[in-house]
Amino acid sequence: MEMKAIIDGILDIINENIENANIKHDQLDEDLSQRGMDSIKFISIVIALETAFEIEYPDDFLLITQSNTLKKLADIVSETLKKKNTEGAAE
Amino acid sequence: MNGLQASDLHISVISDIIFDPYFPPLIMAYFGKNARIYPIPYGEHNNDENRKQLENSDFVVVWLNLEALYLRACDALYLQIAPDQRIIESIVTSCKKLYADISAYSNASTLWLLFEDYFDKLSVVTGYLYNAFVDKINVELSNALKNDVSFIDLKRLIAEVGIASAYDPKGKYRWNAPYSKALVETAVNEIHKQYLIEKGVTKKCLVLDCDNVLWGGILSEDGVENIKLGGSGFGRPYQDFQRFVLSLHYHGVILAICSKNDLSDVMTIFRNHSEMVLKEEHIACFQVNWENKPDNIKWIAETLNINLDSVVFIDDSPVEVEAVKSMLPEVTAILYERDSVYDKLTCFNLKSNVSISDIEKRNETYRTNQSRETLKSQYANYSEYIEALEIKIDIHEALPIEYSRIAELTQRTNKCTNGKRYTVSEIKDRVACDNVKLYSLSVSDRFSDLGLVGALEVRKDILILFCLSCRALGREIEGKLLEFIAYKHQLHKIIFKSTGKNEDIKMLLLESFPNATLTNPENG
Repeated sequence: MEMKAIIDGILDIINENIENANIKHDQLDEDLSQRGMDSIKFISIVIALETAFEIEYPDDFLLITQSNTLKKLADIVSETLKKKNTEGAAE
Repeated sequence: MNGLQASDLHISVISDIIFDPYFPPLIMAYFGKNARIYPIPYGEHNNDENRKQLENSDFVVVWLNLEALYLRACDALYLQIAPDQRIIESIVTSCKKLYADISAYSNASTLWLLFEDYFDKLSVVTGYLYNAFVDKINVELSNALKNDVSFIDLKRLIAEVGIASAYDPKGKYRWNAPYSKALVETAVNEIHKQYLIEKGVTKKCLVLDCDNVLWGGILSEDGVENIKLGGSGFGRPYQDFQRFVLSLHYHGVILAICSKNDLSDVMTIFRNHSEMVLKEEHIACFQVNWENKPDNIKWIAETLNINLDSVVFIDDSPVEVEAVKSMLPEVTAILYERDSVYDKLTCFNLKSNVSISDIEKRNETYRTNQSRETLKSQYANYSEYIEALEIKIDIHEALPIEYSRIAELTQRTNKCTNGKRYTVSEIKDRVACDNVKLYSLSVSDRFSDLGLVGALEVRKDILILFCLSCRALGREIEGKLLEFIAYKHQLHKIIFKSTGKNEDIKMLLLESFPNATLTNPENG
């Protein structure tokens, strides 16, 4: 999956889960915890990402500080998808 | 998801575990989009912000997880040591302390999910030997708070979804959210059910067909001696269903019979068949004839003085069920099928602690209505008839023992009411206020004792509560109640909220107290 499609999908999930977040494509490094992402909303976002991209979000990135920007989330999702595809191909 | 869509309902949830992301959207799906949920972490309910949330709550849910909260106590499970009474006592004491804090900040009803131990993996190797630890805690906790809190059996909810589907290990180790979406949804459904029960949102009357519903076979064709009814064999499902219906009766549901049969045959069964669980005295009204069922159901509703939307009808014939659905859409018409009929009765939301004597009195009134009708026909003049009824009315300041019945009355009454609804805890708060007078009204006549059928609350010159059961209507009792208020109090204001069915009482109040103005506090 292309990075743009991943970012589009993540943006939709962020804006659905954080009221008035209004995060846009170019705000890759905006700190989401400054835009209303508390621990409960973070849980909702992680579960929504898992459902939308059919991935298992890695436990190593479950601290908010590790996943608090659009760029960080996109990198994690992209890496996880790559890993999943490689493992799938190996099987 | 039947019944009430709550407006601006605030629910506080005190817990030591996380239910997100499922809880908020499920609460909104069941309670409506104006419902708001405030999660309060266990142990933080005393801080200022959470205290304020508790004060503003309409409903408080407590859901504590034994494993998360009392990990050391769980050693009793894992190490197979005998449950230490001191551990049990310390858990119960901390729960009692929590409730004392909640009740100090809030008048809201509290729902408490009891502890469960199905997370225990030891059974994989030891098998399912009984361990009483959690049950002991639950018994002691529910005994300690039984008068203040409604307890939900969480084990039963887990059984409903299945142990294998109730847990979410990933959520448990990621963010302390041990339960699956399926279990959280079942719990929200149950919380909603208890909310409806608390608010008295329920059907009131069950109208039953007889053949192939209360007994197997067709009475007019098979004969009294050949119907299937008994404690074993083909008659068993019918007797079991009767037993269930009888339990509905003892939880306050009015029972009526609507059957195409000869009345004498049906009465023979009700009076003489040894395997009948339902007896004549449990039935408020028999409408047994060969007329069409929608007309008969309408007659039953009129006789019992209840609205058609309070009626549930059960019949084994799809044709009859469809006829009632199309001609009386307000009635909930259900097809009797042996195994699924019970699941279709979720429209009843019944309190489990109702007074049997109140129910017997209520049923007696409905049953003796026929005698009253006969008496009425003997008098040309209505006031002579009222005199002949020998009505005795007792109005007195309400006693604490009557609060529960008064709360029930305010919740159930839709016609002869100013629309004020109370829970028992709200009544307790009201009577503790200065200048508040709460009265109860009991009525008896020559045929039966109707019991407590009315309530009034006046604060200074304001009529806060006016509520009279429909069983007492048509006997000029409302007039006596209004005379009583006029004699005791100078009203200048009357609280009134429409129930959609109480327009007549609004007019009556305005006529009786021309100097008073109607006001609905909810409209500011």
